[in-house]
Amino acid sequence: MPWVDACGTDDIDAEDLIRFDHGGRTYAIYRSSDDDYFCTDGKCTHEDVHLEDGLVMAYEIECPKHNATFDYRTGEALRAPACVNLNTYKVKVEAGRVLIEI
Amino acid sequence: MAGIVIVGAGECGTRAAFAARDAGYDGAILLIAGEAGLPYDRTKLTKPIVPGEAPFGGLSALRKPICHANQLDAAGITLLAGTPVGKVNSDARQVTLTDGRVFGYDRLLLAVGATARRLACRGGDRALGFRTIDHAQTVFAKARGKVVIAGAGLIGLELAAVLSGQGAEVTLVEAEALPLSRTVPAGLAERLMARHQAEGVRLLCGSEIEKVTPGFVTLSNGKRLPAPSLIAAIGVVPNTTLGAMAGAMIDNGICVDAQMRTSVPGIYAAGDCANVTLPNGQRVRSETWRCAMAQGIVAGQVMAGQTASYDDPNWLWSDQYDLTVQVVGQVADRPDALRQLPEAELQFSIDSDGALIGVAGIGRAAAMTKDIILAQRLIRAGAKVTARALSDPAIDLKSLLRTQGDV
Repeated sequence: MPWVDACGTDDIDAEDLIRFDHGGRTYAIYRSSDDDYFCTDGKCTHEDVHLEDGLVMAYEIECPKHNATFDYRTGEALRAPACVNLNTYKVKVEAGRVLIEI
Repeated sequence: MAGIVIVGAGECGTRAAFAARDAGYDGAILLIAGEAGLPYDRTKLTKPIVPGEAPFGGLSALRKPICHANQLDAAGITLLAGTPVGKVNSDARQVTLTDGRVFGYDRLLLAVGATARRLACRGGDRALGFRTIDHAQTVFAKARGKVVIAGAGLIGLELAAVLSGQGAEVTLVEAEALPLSRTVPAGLAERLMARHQAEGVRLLCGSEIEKVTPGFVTLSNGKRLPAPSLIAAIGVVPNTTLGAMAGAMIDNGICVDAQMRTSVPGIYAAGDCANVTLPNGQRVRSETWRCAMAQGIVAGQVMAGQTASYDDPNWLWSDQYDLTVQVVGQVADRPDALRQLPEAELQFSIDSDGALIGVAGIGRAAAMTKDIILAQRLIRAGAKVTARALSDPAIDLKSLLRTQGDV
């Protein structure tokens, strides 16, 4: 799968996320408080709601609509109403850019 | 076959079934639904599928399942749908369906919900109710042209927004001086009301329907309105019949403690039908989706033998047009702090000890959700806050949470 240049490392605040749309699909890219980057599908597995307005605390993303919570490093669903994990994608940082393998 | 029997397969009962299994319960779990089909999400009933543009491409009700058959199978949950429970015998630990089938239980959860209140006036039974998928299908098939909605609560307002968006001429008749006076601070209710009026919805507050005749309603002031379609959205009554039959204490719902235990050993109640006494003595009977889910999970865990307690701040969410209203915890008409965001406003309530106890927000959903989630966590943590910090949009609420230590 190709590596896609998604954003600059400074486009995401620490302990936050941004939305990234590519090839008709939507993703969420996270920056942890220790400046590691991660990528998951953009929408919550419980309902068709984008995670971009959700809250990142430590390694968890909380969906803005129903408070489902996922570990964004592994995609694991941690709290109801979600019970299906998020897909995750490989991420690498090169020359100040965040690349994702999708 | 005994095990856990759950009566009612709405959000609460369904979540309870999965929560019991997730908590390691290895006995039988029987989930009994009065309505046919898979458990579905009632909050979607006011959000119909809109196939075309206004006026009236024809709305159709959305039945969104809470879970699919394969998820029930995988969790070893038996769903018995389409036949209500008619009797509970707490001495024999049995429930009897209306078709005569009998099932024993070790633990019984009554997640039996509530029933839409009927219009009590003369001819009031002509009004369409709005609680089930069948109701929603009827309303969206019939309500067009001139529509009168009795009650400007959340259901009435959401239906007014949806139907007026499809070209219906909607009149809301509300007994109180303001819509949502029980749940939303007055300042926010006024703004919602203004928005509905700007969209062409007529709102008659301080007014009641006194009589319904074919095609018309007569109000308490004697005024007669054409009402070819009439919908009653005047709240719900908790279903307590089975609880009373089982011998459980009833007082505005089936009385339970924070572990969802009724006064009868082995019988639990949760969700819309339950009146919960919290450890601090406060009583909560909530009708929100969030509460149904959270109490259902606690009931499931407790029935499975885990230690769990309901202490979630209440939370409601309503979308009307492109406006979202959210309320968490306890809010007052006069807020203690106002936070102005670019496309939303938040109103906070602080108790006499300086702890955040509630927040209400209005505006664009995306503009407020992060702060609402953070406020929920601050409330749950009993966080001490200052009005000055809450009012300053430059101060990230996350920083207030961090200063509370480990939460």
